[in-house]
Amino acid sequence: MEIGFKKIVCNLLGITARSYSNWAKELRPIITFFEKGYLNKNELKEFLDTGKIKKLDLIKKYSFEELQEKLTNQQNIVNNEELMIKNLIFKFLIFNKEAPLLILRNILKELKQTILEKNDLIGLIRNYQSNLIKNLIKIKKNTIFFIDKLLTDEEVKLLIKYKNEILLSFANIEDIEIN
Amino acid sequence: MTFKETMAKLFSTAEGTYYKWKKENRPIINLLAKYFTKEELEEFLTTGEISKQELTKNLSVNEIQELIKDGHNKKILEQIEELKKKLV
Repeated sequence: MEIGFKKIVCNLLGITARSYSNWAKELRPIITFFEKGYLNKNELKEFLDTGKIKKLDLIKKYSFEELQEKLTNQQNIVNNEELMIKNLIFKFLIFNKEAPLLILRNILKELKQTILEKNDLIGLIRNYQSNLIKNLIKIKKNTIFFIDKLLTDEEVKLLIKYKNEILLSFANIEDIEIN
Repeated sequence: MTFKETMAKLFSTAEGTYYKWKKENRPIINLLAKYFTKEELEEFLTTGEISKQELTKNLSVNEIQELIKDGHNKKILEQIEELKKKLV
């Protein structure tokens, strides 16, 4: 163990380095406690300087169970694509404009690539042609707005990756006929 | 175990020493009193670990901050589910 850490523990305990060594030999629990690594040198120094340790202040109010739940839930949210997809579907629901989504669905249906950047998708929408859709330019503007302004780069990637699952959530737009 | 007994055991000293150190305002006494419960210290004496501390042992302040953010995301997701039910 580096000397800096030992010196700080000595200051916290109010003992000499010699006592520290003796206590360590005697396996006194308080020394084992510090050597466990729950608090590092900087955190112990922070306490000596300020009377506080930010890391411990953050977790102080939580019980073990509460903290465990928080850490697990949040990690799941961060890592869970399924939840990200739900967020994405939410944006679809909020946007809720059938014609622009129909264009998007048609483009995605034909799309062969599994990875596509946001700007490339916008390019595909810009170039999309159809004789069946009235006011195509205006509708395409709405589709571009949805992709460009409402979706993040990550969500566009996710949309491409899971296009079938996401579009299935909007089965009702399958039957829409636009004249 | 009373609190002073727990502390005495942790330091491997007589109970009187704990009071003496408390009077002397030694930082360790404040540190333990401020951030650790009697139960956690007893857990350490019995098992050699504090399970709550084990959870965050390898996490930085920033990582903890990020992870314990209020259940904001969770609440939003619950709202989405509710909205979906109404909309579909």
